[in-house]
Amino acid sequence: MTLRLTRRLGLRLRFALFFAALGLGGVGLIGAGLWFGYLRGGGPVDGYVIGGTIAALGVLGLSAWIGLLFDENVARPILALASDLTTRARADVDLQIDEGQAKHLGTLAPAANAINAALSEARAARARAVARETARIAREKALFEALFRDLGEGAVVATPDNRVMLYNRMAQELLPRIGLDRPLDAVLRPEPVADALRRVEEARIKGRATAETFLAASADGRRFLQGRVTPIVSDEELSGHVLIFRDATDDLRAHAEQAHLFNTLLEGVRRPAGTIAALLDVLETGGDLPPEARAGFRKGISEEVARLFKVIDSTAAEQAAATSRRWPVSAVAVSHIFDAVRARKALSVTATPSDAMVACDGFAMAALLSRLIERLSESGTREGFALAAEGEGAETRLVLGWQGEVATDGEIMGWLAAPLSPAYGHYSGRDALEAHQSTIWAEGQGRSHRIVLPLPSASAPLAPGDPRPEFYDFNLPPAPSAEMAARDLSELSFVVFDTETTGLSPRGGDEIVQIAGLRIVNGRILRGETFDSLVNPGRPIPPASTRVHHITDAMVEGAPDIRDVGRRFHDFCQGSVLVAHNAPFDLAFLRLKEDVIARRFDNPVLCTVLMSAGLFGHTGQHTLDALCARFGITIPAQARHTAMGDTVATAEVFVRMLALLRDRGVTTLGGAIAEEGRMTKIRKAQAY
Amino acid sequence: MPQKTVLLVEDEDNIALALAHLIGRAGYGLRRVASGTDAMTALAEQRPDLVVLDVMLPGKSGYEVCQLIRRDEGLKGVKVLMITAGGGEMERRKGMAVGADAFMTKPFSTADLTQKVCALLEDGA
Repeated sequence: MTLRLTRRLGLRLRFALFFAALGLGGVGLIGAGLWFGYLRGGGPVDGYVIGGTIAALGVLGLSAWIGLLFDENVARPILALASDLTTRARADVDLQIDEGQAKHLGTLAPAANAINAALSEARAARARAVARETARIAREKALFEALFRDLGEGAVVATPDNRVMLYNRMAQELLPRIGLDRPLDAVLRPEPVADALRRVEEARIKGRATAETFLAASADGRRFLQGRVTPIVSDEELSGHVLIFRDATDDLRAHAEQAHLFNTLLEGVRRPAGTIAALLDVLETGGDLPPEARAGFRKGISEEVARLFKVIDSTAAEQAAATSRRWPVSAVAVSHIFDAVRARKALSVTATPSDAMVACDGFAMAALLSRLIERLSESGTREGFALAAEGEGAETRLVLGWQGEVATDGEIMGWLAAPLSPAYGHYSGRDALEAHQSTIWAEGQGRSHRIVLPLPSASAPLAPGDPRPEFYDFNLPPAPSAEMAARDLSELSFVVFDTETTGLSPRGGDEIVQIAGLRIVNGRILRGETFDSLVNPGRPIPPASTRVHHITDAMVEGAPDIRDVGRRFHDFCQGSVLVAHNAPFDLAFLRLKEDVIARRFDNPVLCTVLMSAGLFGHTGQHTLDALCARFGITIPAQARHTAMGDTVATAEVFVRMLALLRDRGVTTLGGAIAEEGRMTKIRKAQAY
Repeated sequence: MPQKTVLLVEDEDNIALALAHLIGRAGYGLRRVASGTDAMTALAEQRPDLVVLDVMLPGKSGYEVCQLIRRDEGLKGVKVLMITAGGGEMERRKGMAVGADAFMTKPFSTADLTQKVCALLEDGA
């Protein structure tokens, strides 16, 4: 009972009540003393009343004055110290406590700093111990991450209810909208996978944990993915499934094109061939044919031959245009091919640096160039081997130059007729060239010669970004329940976002010029899953606003409008709680555009300003800069006031605040929203 | 003016028969060999004005013969018309890269071939 009352009243109010009671008690005692004196001594009443009133007012005034001094110099500093200590205890902040704020508390502030220092040391010791112990696990994790990240096939691990728990870079390239804790159905047509999973489940019930194949289109229908799905069973419970897949779009298209080409060729050849055979037969057997009839038959044969040529020509053209990929090729950096050639110790060759990319099997091309250099240098009549790349339209030519004796086409083709590498069995260099739909030739004069190998140019693959992005989370919570408010904060996914605008008045015609967002799942900021887009506001950006966010009219001129960006951002936020610093401001802009975007932003919302007011109410400092300073977060100057820079800072602040909220017993979304609700004064100031 | 001569390097007898007939009918002298190696011997013996050169040959390939012609100072100015049944764009580019003046893909019409041969020979007149 007392504890509950104590919690409800707060320290400063309790001190105020204490001094009020002291003052009133003093007044009571003075009154009682005077009354007792009057009864014993008698005398004029007025004297007692006047003396009593002056003494009572004095006691009350003294109590109020001491109370105020106590509030200023004791209660507030105690609260500030308590807040600082709690922040340091719960949010891993190692900054020194400002002792000046509690100078009247004697050695309390230095003692708090000593505790803080001891805590920091204990933390550091624990961190060292944990670091040692986890180093081995980290190495294994790094191996695992590297394996999954750079796997040539797409890999996704999903929960039993089909939410993404892990994916690798290739999966992200094939299914760009994939994200942790997102439904797999949102990126991949669910029916074929569900069918394969049913077969997996039937096999599992029969005691066989097996993989099943599937062929499914991506959700946007642009790609066909072929792969297999394998159940993950632990303690006889299904804990998820693994999908390994590759892009079969080109294979299917090439197969269809080849089949069509073959059927067209067959049909196109059969008819004129049949006609020619019949006409020749008549000419050979018809010895008594009149000359005009013979001429007619010959004309017929000529026409059919012309038709035959036409079929062959068009088939050859179609064949050349068909993007048959009989050999697995990928975008390979020319420098990697050259490095691989130069890495062979026996070869002495220089390479001109190149940042070109080519579509090929890099290993095969490196083996082919190495073979050529080996053979060219065998005679001892050639030297100064040099590799270079030359751009030529849509292709890049790999050029191997040397000084000395010429190499004939027959020699080169002879060298390439032998098996290329033990890794490729009987496949020869010529087979590799044919599979790449390429060839090779020698050119030059005097003593300078070179071999030219043309390959299709390629663009760089998906940017690697963070070398260790958050591609997995094995601790995903159970399936979302209908009542989000009752859910634990740790189970929710959040989208922290920020907008840059043309001004501060959403209802006065100001518009969004940039939206940035990033996801937080299981308390981790997923730097690999971000949203960052400029928006064409359809109106000029005032110079005053440009000075703040550095976004100019020229920068947004070619950007998509809010209708497009808003829809993509809505998709990005699906199923997440929205978080922003001063959220009502950013939301006001989005909600005013809901009709244009044709989507509703009805996600639950948390505001870091309101959360700060709830957590550190007494300080009055809730700016993003103040919160970053409080938590020891550094925002690079160039990132401040950029949508993504502020988003990252808000996310860092938010995850630390979640820890503090939990410490206060606020564990659910409903609880967090209720905490914000108490900050009515600030909420009123946030009306946009 | 002496009669212009053509060296036909073709290993398929039927097409060689037809080509020989067409070139002869156009009024040019003709010598036919059936391999790359024989072609080099024939070139050493007599300098032709034009070499009609098949790509796929026993011994030396048509590309190699063409390269040897281009490197031989004594054969400077000799025209080379390469013919192939391969038909790929890369083959055509390789042929032109090694020094051919023209490139034709089988099947071709006899009129086109005669026209190309005449054009090459008259161009060098």
